[in-house]
Amino acid sequence: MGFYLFSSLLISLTWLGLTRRYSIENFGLGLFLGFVLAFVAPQKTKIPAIHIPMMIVTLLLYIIKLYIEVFKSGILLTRRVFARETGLNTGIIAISTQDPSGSDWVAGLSAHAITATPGDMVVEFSEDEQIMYVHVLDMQASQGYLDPQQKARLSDLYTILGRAIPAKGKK
Amino acid sequence: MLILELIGAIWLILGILFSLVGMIGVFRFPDVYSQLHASGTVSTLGVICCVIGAAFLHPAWFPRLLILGLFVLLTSPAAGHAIAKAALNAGMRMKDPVRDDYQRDVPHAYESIENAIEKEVD
Repeated sequence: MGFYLFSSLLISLTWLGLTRRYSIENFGLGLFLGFVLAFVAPQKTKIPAIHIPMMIVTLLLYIIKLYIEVFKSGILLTRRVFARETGLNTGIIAISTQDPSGSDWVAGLSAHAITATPGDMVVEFSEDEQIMYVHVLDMQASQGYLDPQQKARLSDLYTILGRAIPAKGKK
Repeated sequence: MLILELIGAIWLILGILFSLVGMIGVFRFPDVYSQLHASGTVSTLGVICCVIGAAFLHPAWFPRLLILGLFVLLTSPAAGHAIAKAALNAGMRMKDPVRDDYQRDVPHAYESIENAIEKEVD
């Protein structure tokens, strides 16, 4: 029930924004469409309804963090582009997803967040999807923070995904 | 109203400048992976700045622009990742890497798809 509620709330808010008709009826229509879409979605997870407010707050904070990272990343790269010497120490580092459940969602969202951070970009996954290969522009800087950052990110992702991450292969 | 237009114009100019920086980065950085950092990330910031500028110029469009900004944020890193993965699978090498864990872990790293297929056929 929680999964349907969370998905349909997000979809109905998107619906309100897209249609620009802010009425209870339109919100209800969005909610209905959200329920239909959530119902036909291939992956269903059991999320207790009590976790939904926390999930939404964490999701919003996570999106704000991503925007900040994109701004930092853009400014850092602009400085590099205009520097006399670009000073690149490029390389590929293997980083563990640190997720024992091996969830595709966690792997995908972690890769997305790493790519948004300044100077890092996920280029490949290992076959078991437990290791991410990250291309970095500055090896010295990235070596130190990628692992601790992933640990912190993981707790956010667990909250956003309702602490009920489906085990790999389960539907 | 004039102040909103002024702020919107500043954001739009910033967006255009960041997009330009992304393009210059493609010429300045040495290999495809580094170039993707410039073209992907800086250009994303350019688009986001343009979206913010548009929100100041047309406040009524704000909800749509908010969703547009979110879609850009969600899809742009995924596009960069997809291109980088395709380059890696095609056997594109980095220029002067300091460290390469991918080559260490994957035996046939940087072997182009054509070569791999030829070997399998042989």
